[in-house]
Amino acid sequence: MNTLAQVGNFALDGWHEIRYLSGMTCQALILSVKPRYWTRAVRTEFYRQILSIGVGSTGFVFYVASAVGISVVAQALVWLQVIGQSKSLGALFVTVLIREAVPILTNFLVIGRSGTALTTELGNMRVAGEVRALDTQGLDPFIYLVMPRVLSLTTSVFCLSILFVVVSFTSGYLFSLLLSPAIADPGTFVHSILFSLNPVDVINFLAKSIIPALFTGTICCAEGLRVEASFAEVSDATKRALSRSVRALFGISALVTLLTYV
Amino acid sequence: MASFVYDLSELICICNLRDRNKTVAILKTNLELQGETGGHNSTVLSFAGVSTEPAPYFDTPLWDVSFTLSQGELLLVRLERGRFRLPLADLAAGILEPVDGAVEFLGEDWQAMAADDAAAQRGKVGRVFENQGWINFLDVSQNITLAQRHHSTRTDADIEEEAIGLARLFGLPGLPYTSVSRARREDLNRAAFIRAFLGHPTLIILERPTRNLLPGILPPLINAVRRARDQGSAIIWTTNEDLVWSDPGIHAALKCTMFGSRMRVVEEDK
Repeated sequence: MNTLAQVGNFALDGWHEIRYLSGMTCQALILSVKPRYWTRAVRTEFYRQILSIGVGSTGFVFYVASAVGISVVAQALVWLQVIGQSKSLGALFVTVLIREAVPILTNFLVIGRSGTALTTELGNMRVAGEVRALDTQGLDPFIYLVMPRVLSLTTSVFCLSILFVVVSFTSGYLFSLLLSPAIADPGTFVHSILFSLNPVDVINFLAKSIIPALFTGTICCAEGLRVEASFAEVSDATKRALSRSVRALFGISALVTLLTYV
Repeated sequence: MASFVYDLSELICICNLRDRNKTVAILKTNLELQGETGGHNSTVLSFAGVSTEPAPYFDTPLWDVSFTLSQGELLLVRLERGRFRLPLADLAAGILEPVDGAVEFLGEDWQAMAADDAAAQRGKVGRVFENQGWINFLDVSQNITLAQRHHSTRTDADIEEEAIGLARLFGLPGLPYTSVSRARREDLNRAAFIRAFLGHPTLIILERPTRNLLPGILPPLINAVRRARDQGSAIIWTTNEDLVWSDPGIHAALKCTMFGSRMRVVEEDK
């Protein structure tokens, strides 16, 4: 096969995969608005996933957000003082954190902590015949396993992103007070952040938090459920899920930035 | 019509009894079933010339298997030594597509059903799995009640009450709340009966249910089977044990043996 054909096949495979994952994501969203699919068993599974992915990641996100807030402030203060703009800390926070860092970092943390675990769990279930057992009992694996996981992961990422913003801003501001006591009072700081925030920033933040999370959930579930017969396949599926989720995250983030700011 | 009037009058009488909710639930199930299938002794499951392809999940495929199972009937299948994993149960539950022939559940071909309808119909099938079939992230009691909590509108307390009754029948002190990985194998085998019989299924599939539990489990299991048959359930029971095959208390409507991929009828009492 010549090189051109290989490139063509690679592109076609990628396109088919994007269509498949988009279809699966849309299907999960469409089913989720129909109340008849939210049976007690599905609701319980959704709550369990929220606890596992969302609540379980809170401490981890809190730690990273504090560290990021401090790092950004340490860098920003130095450079803002050099150019004599130390009152612009809030605006810089909005530009650096809300527009780019927070949605990407939160998604990244959830992919690493919960996305891969999700693929492993579903892969092991496939090999152990548990997915078949669910199907036999009339529990559609898509309704019982995929839909609650995709939605709970998305809800968790959205909530954790907000937590990330609050914690990083707070830690950044407190650290800036330590470094430079002449910094603006809290009211001015909050006002400068809100003043710097445009509607486009909010849309950008929502899109970058929610859309990659939807795809992460779908990719991780799809890879887990693609495992066929052997536990050895699970580790490969997990690696694939991780790389595809990260690629989707950065691809979608870049696309959203282009659509909202260019 | 006469049957319906009789059932309705029976329902009204029993509604006055103390255990009202539970009895209404049981009768409602039977009424629904009779409504769907056209009265007592109507067909629950039929295999018509069913063949399957060899698959890694199964020890042997099926070839040209035909039988009909009506309400209250029991099909006892004797398995060949070392060939215990048959596609029979998966076909009966509609999760395996035959390469030839058709499997009908309550008069409807599984393959012709929409996915949602098929899932709802599978809620009427109880099963003791050959390979256990436990969901590891749920504890044993959640596994037992999972299908009922998904398919029925019964309250959790009602489901749990019935499950506890079945647990006592099968020799457990109550519902096991331990995780699947920590439960004793014998307890899991007994818990599998609770899951299979819970909610008065229309079809109950018992895949070698007595393994590791003989002979003690046989009397309560036969009692549970008899009660389920009286309530209109059809039952498929596979076994490789002589004690089960020759037990006079089982009263199978159809006794078959497997020879390779073929199923041969040994005794018919319809």
